[in-house]
Parts: sequence; C-alpha cells; structure tokens
Amino acid sequence: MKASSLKKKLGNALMIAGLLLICGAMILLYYNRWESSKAGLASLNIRNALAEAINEGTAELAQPEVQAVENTIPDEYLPMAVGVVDDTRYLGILEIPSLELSLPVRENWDYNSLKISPCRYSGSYKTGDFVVCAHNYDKHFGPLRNARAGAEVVFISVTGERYSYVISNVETVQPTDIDYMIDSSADWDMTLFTCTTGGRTRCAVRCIRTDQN
Amino acid sequence: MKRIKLTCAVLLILLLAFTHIAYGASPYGSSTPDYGRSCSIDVVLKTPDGKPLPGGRLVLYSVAKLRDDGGSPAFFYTGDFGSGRVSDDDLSDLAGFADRLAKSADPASSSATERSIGGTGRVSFSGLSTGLYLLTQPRSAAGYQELLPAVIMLPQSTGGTLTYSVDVQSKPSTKVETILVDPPIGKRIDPDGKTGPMEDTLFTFKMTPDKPDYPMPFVTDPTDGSATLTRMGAGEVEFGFIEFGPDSVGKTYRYTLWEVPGDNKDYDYDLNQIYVVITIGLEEDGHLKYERLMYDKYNIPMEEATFVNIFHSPKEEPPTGSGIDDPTTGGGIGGGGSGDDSGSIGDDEDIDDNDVPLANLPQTGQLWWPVYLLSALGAVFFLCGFTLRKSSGDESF
Repeated sequence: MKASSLKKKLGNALMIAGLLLICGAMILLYYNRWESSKAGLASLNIRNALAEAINEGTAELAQPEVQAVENTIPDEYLPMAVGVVDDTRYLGILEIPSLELSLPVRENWDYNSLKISPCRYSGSYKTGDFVVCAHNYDKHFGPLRNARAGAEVVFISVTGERYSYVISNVETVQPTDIDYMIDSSADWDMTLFTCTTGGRTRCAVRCIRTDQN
Repeated sequence: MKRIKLTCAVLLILLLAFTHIAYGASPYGSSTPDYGRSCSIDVVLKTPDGKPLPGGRLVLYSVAKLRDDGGSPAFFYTGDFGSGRVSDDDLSDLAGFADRLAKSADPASSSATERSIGGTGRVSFSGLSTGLYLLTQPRSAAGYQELLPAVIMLPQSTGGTLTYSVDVQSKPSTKVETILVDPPIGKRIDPDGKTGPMEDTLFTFKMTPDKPDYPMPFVTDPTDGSATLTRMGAGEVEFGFIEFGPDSVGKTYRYTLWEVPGDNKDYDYDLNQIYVVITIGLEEDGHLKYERLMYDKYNIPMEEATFVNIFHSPKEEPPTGSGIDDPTTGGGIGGGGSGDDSGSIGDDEDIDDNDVPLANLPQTGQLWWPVYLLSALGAVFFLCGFTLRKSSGDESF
C-alpha cells in the first residue's frame, strides 16, 4: 500500500514535471516565432524605406564628404557609402530572388543589430571581401539552408549601384574558423553566413561577382 | 631689336653700376634717378632647344628701395631682409648676395609676389618701383632644375616704363622626382576611471601593404612586406615616409595599420584596423602629387589613425577578454568600455562584450534545440509518470 502510494506520488510528480517541460518548450517555441516575426517586420520596414530613398536618389548619406569630394582615389578604395534610416546606418539592400529575400544590410554588426537586420561582419562590397551575417530567422538568413549554387544574388548600395553575384558554393564552417570565413584571398567576392539549425556551426554561402570585367 | 637694345641698355647700366660701386661712386653716376618711375620685369623660361617651358612658379621679393641718401641714390632694405642701407660688399657680389637673401626669403611675406609660369613660359612683374629685387623659382617645371636665385637691380628710368627682360634657359634635371607620404598615427592610453597610476608598457604596431611589392618606409617581415614598430606608452607612432616615384603615377596603394595584441593583462588592446589609401598622380605642371584617405574597418573615415588602449588598475580584476572592438566610435579609435554595440560573441544581454575574447564567429541562431530537448524530456517524464501511476493500480486521477 505504502509502495503503491509512493509510486502514485512519483508518477504524478513526473507527469507534472513532464507537462511543465512541455509548456516550457511551447513558450520557447512561441518566443522564437515571435522574435522571428518581429525581426522580419522590422527589416521589411527598413528595407522599404531604404529602397524608396535609393530609387528616388534621396538616401541620406552619412559620409557625403567622402562621396562628394572630387578626388583621384578610385571608387573601389573609398569607404562604402552609408545611408541613414531611423538614425541607423545601412550599406544597402541584399536580394536573393530564388529565396524571396530582400533585406537591408547594416554597416556594422552587433547582437542588438542582428535582431533587426543582416549586418556587415567584415570587408567591403567594393574590394570583394564582403561578409554579411544574420540570424537564421525565417525572414532573414534562415532560408540560406536552401541556397543552391548558381542562384543569383544582388546587392544594391545606398547610391543605387548594383553588384551582381552568383552563388558558387554552400559550405559549413566551424565557429572558430574566423580567418577561413573572412579570407580575402579566397575565390569569392561575398559571403553570407548564419547559424545552422543546431547552432553549433555556420552555414556559409559563397558568392562570386558576375558583373566585373 | 628694341628689346635687344633695352637689354643692352640695362646691362650697360648694370655694368656702370658695378663700376661706380668699385670706385666708391654713386651707382647711378651724376644723373638724378627718377625714384618714382614704374618698372617691370619680364622673365621667359625656355627649354634647351628654345621652346617655351611652362610649369612651376616664380617668386619676386622686394629687397630694397632706391632712395636719395644725402644727394646720392642708394638702396635701402624694405624691412623683410634687413634694415638700413644695402652694403657695397653685397652689391659687388650679387650672386652671393642672392644666395644669402634666398635663405631668409619667406614666400608668405608681404614683400613676395608669386606667379605661375603659364604656357608661354613668360612671367611678368609690373608696377615695380626702382630698387633691388630677388627672383627665385621655388618650383620648376617637371624634369627641370630650379633657377638659381638672382638679384635684379632696377635702375633709374630714362623715360616711360623700363622693362628688365631676360630669357632663361632651364636645365633639365637628372634627379628622379619622388614624393613622400607619411600616414599620421597616434596612440592613446585611457584609464578605466579608477584611481591608481598607469603603468608603462610596450605597444607594437604593424603596417601591412595589400601587396608585398608596394613601397614601404622599411620592411621587417619579408613574407608579407610589412613593417613593425614598437612604442612605449602613449604618443605618436612614426613609421616614417613612404617614397613614391614616377612609376607610381596612376596607381593606388592600400596599407593596413593595426596593433598587435600584447600580453599585459592590465591593458585592453585596440583591435581596430585602419586602412591608408594613397593614390599618386600628376599636377598640371607635371610634378608628382598624392591623395591620401584613411578609414577604419568600421567604415569610418578619419584624418589621423589613433589606437586606444584601456588601462585597468591592477587592484581590480581585469576583464578576461583582451580586445576592444567598438564600432560605434569613430576616428579610428578602437574604443573602450562596454558599449552595447561592441561586436563580440556570446549572448548579448548578459555578457559585457569586453569580457569575451573575439575567438568565434557570432552566434546567429535561434535556440531551437532547447525546444526539442524540453519537448522530448517532457514527453518522457509524462509517459514515465503515467506508466508509474498505472502500475500502482490507480486508474483514475
């Protein structure tokens, strides 16, 4: 009797614990979905504002003194043009038509910024060592896991210049391989990366310029 | 013909001037000079084969005015080159006199008039009063030597405007022109706000060219052609001049300046990288020129590259990380402190970015594995509990 009562209590405890764990999982699930949705909406609003400004040629440039000065330094060596939206600095818009992605790219990365939009991790689209990172939200770089070689990628700067790329390969990179990820001597011009589903590694999409001579 | 006559007249007058000086007489003889007459100087520069030589600049200095000195004309300094009367010794050695005057000549002074040498190679200075003038060429046409300084004596006029006219044949220069560029770099040490003296330590910097064959002030690493410099404490860091020659015209060079992280745990080392871009071109007159631009890895343009280190008082436990990477501060400063915008890895809200060394790529994934884990554990617990209850013989709950 006593053993039976103990079993019953233990069973109840385990069931309650199990329900609590499942509730925790549900909460985390909905939180992730909410965060992803919020990030998608935020980046969409910024993207639209930036696109409108670029199309109308009214993008507020943060470094006009660099762009406006008549100088002999080739454009590829100049700092990237920066547009300002909501007091935040952006480099342009990244588009991957096959994945139905059109996202703004922030000038520099930090964890707060990654919650809003993809960010430049290192390099420049002018010098062919452009590395962009983003969270694997559904509306950010989550679809990168479905990227295929040969797909088109376009980057539009805030001054309206278009840089066309094609995906050359998709690879998995260890989180400690920073040098490998940003290696400017490698045979790619732009890299997009995000975490794989487990978060232990990074999914890197390498892209090659197609509009250069 | 008229010009030759005038030139001869001038030369004759000059000769007379020298003669009279040698014998102690007035340089202008017994005639009364017209002190107020307007004069001019024309200079035409030509190549060795007689063609006009444009390019460069001439500067004419008013050295002395011709005045009456007790009934005789004499030269009196205007003030920029001395005071009082010009000595006879100087007037007897005009070449040496010109060299001495040129050493103290200031092109920014009020006695200086600068003219660029245009396409005809001719430069005219008009509206001059009688007196002594110093002619210099601070900048020649590309490929030619500068003229030696010359003293020109404008004598009394014989009526009308007197023109001192001279054709000068410039000598080609055998020296290859180069241009020197020195990127300004600074180093600053900031305390962390706590008390205690800052200890001095050695900081190391590197300048790495994009390509190893770029001109460099010096090279210490033959593998990549980079230069390394050390400095104790704060202050300027001088890699020295980078020299570019005519073969650099039309080319652009990019260098990366960066600090090598040290091993002093009391310091945070600046992890910023600063790019120096130099383009070599040609002025209109053919001389070399350069344009320089600096910006850091955060895409921030700057006038001077400044690296900042944060010193942590040894009484306090320094952060475990050793890097400062704050993209929100501009001006080449690697920034310090715990800005929210620092780019380091790890969870953002709970960890000060300076506490985590930059050893991994940023965590850019949502936490999905806990969802699966919690769900699986929850299911297991629930099933185990259900099974236990059932086996205890109680079928209703």
